[in-house]
Amino acid sequence: MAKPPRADRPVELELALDEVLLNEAVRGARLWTTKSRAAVLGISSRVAEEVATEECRRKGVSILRRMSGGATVLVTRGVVCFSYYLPHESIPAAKNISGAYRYAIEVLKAAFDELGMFTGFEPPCDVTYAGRKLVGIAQARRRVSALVHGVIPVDLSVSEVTRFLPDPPEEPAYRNKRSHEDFMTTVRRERPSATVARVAAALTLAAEREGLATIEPSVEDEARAAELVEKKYGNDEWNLRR
Amino acid sequence: MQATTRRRTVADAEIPDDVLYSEDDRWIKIEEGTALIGITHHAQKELGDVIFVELPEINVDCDAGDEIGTIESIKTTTDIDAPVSGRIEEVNERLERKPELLNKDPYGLGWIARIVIKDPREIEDLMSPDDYAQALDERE
Repeated sequence: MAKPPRADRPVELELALDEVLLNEAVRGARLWTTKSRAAVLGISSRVAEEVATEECRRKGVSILRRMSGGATVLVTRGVVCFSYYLPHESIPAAKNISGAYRYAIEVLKAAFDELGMFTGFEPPCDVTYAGRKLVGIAQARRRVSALVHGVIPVDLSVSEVTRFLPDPPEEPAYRNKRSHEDFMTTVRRERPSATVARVAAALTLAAEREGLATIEPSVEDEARAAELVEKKYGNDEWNLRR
Repeated sequence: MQATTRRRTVADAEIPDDVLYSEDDRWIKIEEGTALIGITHHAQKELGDVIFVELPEINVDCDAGDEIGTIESIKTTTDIDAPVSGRIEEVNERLERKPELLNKDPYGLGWIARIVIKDPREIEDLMSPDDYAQALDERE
């Protein structure tokens, strides 16, 4: 039976681990989920525009910020977060922004194929299913490596997203003014038998076929990440900076 | 700061002949012991619309490869790495108000910073326009 990804680290520590592993230019993949709830902004997103702050505070939803661009996402029980670490030396496609996205999208597509979901792509970086947004992915780059990461809504109520994240100010053309409810879909909505564990197993298999072995952060990685939480990801100066 | 030089186009990207290049798609113009730096046409195309630039700090020493700033676009965030060692003498403050200059005029009004070069031998590690054109061609 497929095992769900680990859910015991605080979300801010997971965001910090992404930065640590990108800096180390490791090659591989990592999956995680959470038992808590967080609105995770893109590096340039504005809190006032993309987060229902009062509602988040009332319901104990943390407001955090990641190192990559893109719109705010809700990280909560029922999602699978994935990170692909793509060093340029062993994955030449990752030397270009578009190449790194193409590479990651191919891995995701193969994972969804395993689940019987034949996904599409909408620029700049959305994975779609039947005309709806399934996964938004984002990228952060260092000189020698790229991180492509995102959140897969497996068993998530879209109304929960609407409650904490207002419609974003910038919308991709294919959204066509649709509300979150009409625009987003989840794996469970399309495949009622899907579970977080099953989606995680498909993602792991697809990543391993591409030579992206599962990365388990070392004790040193965790210590570096904890420092980064102290200085950055656990800090309002970073999280609420815009 | 308007480039008026010969330039070629490779993989839909303009490559002026009067600057040097780094592997990570930065251009470097050597002028009287300083390096004027920016991102290449290819880099801005890849980034998509640039929405924020965190500029380097003036009067700070850097080594080649140091992260000295950040560029954020709708698609990604990427570091600005120092292509040579030295002291950051000047930055293009217009980019704080108009980050889109990186897209509109990457070799001209979209310059990022000027570094006083510490070790001129490092210039030999940079790529000529021919080498950069070939590297881009191979990547496509």
